[in-house]
Amino acid sequence: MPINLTTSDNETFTVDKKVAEKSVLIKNMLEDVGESDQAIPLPNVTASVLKKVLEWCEHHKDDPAPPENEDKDDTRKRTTDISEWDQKFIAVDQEMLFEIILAANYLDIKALLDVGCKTVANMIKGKTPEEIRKLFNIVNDFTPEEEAQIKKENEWAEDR
Amino acid sequence: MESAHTLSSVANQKTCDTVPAPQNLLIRSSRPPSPSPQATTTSLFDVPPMINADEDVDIPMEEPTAEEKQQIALFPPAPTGRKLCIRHQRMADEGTNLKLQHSLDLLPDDERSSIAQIWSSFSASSHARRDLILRGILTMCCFTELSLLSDQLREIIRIDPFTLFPSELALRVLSYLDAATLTRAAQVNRNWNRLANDDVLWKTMCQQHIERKCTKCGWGLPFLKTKKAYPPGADGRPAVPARPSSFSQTKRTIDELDRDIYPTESPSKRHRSSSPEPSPLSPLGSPGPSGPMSQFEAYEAQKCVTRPWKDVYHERHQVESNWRKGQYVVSTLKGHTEGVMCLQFAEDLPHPSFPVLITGSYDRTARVWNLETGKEIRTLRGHSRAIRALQFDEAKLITGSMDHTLRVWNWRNGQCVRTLEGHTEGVVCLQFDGNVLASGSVDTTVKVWNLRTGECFTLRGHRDWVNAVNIWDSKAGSSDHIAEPSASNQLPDIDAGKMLFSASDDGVIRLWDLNLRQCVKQYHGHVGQVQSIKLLLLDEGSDESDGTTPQEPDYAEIAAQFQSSVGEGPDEPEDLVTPEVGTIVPFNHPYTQLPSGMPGFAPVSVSIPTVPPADHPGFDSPAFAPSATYEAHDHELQANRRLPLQKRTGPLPILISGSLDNTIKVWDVERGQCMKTLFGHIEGVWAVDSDRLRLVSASHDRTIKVWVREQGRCLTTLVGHRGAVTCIALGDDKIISGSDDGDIKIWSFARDAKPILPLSSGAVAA
Repeated sequence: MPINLTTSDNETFTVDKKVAEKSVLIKNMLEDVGESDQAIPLPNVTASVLKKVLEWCEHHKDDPAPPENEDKDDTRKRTTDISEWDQKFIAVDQEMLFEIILAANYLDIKALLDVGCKTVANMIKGKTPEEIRKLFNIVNDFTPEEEAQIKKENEWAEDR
Repeated sequence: MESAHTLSSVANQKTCDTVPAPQNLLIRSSRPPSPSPQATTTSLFDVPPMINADEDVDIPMEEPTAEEKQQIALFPPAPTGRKLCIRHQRMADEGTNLKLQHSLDLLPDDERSSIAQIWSSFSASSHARRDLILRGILTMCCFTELSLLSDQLREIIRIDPFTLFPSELALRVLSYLDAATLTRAAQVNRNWNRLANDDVLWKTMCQQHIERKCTKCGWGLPFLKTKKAYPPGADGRPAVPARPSSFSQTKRTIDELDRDIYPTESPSKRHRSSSPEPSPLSPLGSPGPSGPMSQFEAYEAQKCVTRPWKDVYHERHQVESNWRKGQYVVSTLKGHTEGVMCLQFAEDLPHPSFPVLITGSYDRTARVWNLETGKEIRTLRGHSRAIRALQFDEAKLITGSMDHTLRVWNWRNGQCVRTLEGHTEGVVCLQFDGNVLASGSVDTTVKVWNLRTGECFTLRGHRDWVNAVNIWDSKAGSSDHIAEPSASNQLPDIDAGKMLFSASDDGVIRLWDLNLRQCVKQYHGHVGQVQSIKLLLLDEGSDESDGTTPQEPDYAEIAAQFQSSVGEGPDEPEDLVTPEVGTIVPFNHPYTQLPSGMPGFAPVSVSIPTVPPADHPGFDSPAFAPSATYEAHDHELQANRRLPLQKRTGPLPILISGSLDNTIKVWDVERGQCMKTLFGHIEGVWAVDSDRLRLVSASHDRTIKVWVREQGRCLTTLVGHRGAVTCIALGDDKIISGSDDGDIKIWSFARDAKPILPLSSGAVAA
């Protein structure tokens, strides 16, 4: 059964129910509302982002549902491995990447959220504070004293 | 119109989403929202609210820059009091607009005006129009311009994700990072600092690294339970007392909280001994085993109000660094007049308040030391020959001596409360767990004693001295195992699944089923006398990196392995299993008949119903079943034997052995295979100890080596003893070793370690 989704910028996407239900939010909405021709409004997602998200859902529509307790498992086996397809998929500019993460969070698509967050983590990994600032155009708002102090407090981890 | 409305709301929404600081370049709150075409400059201004962060073209011309200077006066370029998005704020800071204006100023008036016109009509356009305009412009661009665009885009499209994300998302990202990156992230800016120092984040880091090796980074951090390991005052608590009680209070909740992360596993690693560690059952029937991590959490939870998890991590990181770099402070305890042969220390006893070390020596004494001051507290005399083995807990000390006896002491007052006689030669090793005591002797036997009743039975099979014993609760951790004793309201001394390893001068390590009183497996590989063994239970899925340990053992293969080891053991003909059953001899048994209610020593059929009790040769049963029955047993045996293995869901057992062939071997207990051999000592290895994080060995070559077990790599060699190093105990932040030269050395890897100077009034800084 096709499902209609309307984005914040009033574009409507028609997708297979199976694809749409990768989103727990939509899945729950469908369960609550029941069968209906009405489009589901997604006021927090724009068309360009939803397009990407649906692309991901389409590709992963046959993935087995994640186990319920995956979150607990997370802390034990967190891995930054991302499948090749996902890596390509997520190779977008920062703005789109972050939008996808926010959308995945909003739509409750855990696997996509993981891919996004891991990608950001991989971007950060191994970088110096200055490199991180540069990477994300972040302004250093520490006073020089603070910066020196914080540097001192955190030096230990480099010692390995 | 309708679409225009939608668009503006879209734009707003998007700006809000992507750029938290509402970037309504508000400017013209006074102005009508509709584009006022009056001046090019103004329309330039009006645009930004619609700006899309990913549209590089619309640079918010703050300043009236465009053409008319007088406008500038009206709208000063500085964004005073304006709310700008991060991007535009940054641009204002960098004077981007100013530069743009300068370039513009250099142009002739008409050009200026036409450019401003382009900008203004762009900015006045709806979202969709802009899109169209941009696409048009893009098609007009040559590669040079595209290159400029691409170059510029790469720079300006960078956004701080943590300004966009709600905290939980930011923390989710950070949770994928390692400690080093986290501490760097904390230095980025204030917001990042707050996020990267998050307590939950660091708690997770602690959970991943403390008492286990992180599968990702390979780092594991010591548990460090003792109070004294870190400076007091951080929490203002008194040194030690009251811990046990508060312990048990918090334990349960913490357990429930984090049970998934820390499946209760065995050895409370607090009690260390030169001989291998006891299993968790505590001797006084006090609450059973609890995972070290839950203890750890309970312990830390008491203080986490004042002590951030990051600090907890930091401290342990420093200790681990010391281990890795081989940075230690060594102290020497003198007192024994002859070689030290055995030792054990305990840092977490409810009483006394200081850590206790007990050592045994060829000088026939056992000595009790205050590990904090290095002072000898008590000398235990009684044995008529060398003390070769000892183990203590909070209530008792048991020593084994070359005078053929074992003695049970109250080590707090020095009284010998009991003497166990039975071995016909010197006792060289022992281990107890609850009421079960195993001792190995020069007489080549292992005796298993019921400490409560004094009964014992004998395990025969070794052909030379038995140098080391190690009890293994193969079913420990499974819930039914825990439930069993309480259900029957008695403490069976030998639970189903209770096993024993023994190592001998004959070069073989044997695994015995204490219920069946039979040798069920042998470990061949050492070419010299095996002096020391240590059982280690690894978390499932832990990275025994050589990959020789599949998580799910192949049981068929194990069975085959067993059979072959039984049938074709290199130096043991086929007389292995069967005769041993027959050789179980009641020894020193006060009863002629087994009391039916005798806990633990009840007929084996109680715990293993598949074995017909009538056929089974009880340790005290005077009549042995005919050998035909043994064969039948043997079949059942194999079934039984595999049972505990198949049921294993908990930790993975590995056995570490040290031998006079100069090597240390790491064994896959279930497969009976040697997984790794550690070479490095140039003379025989007298003692080994290991925890989840490292392995240490003491050798006749007078050195101690610290190994990375998984890699079989020697990390550090500790030199200092003047004689062979005969015994060793590993702690979270220290090694204690005893030597033939009579010295005891404490190698401390603690943070801010100071030497213990028993003779001086106080410790001197390193």
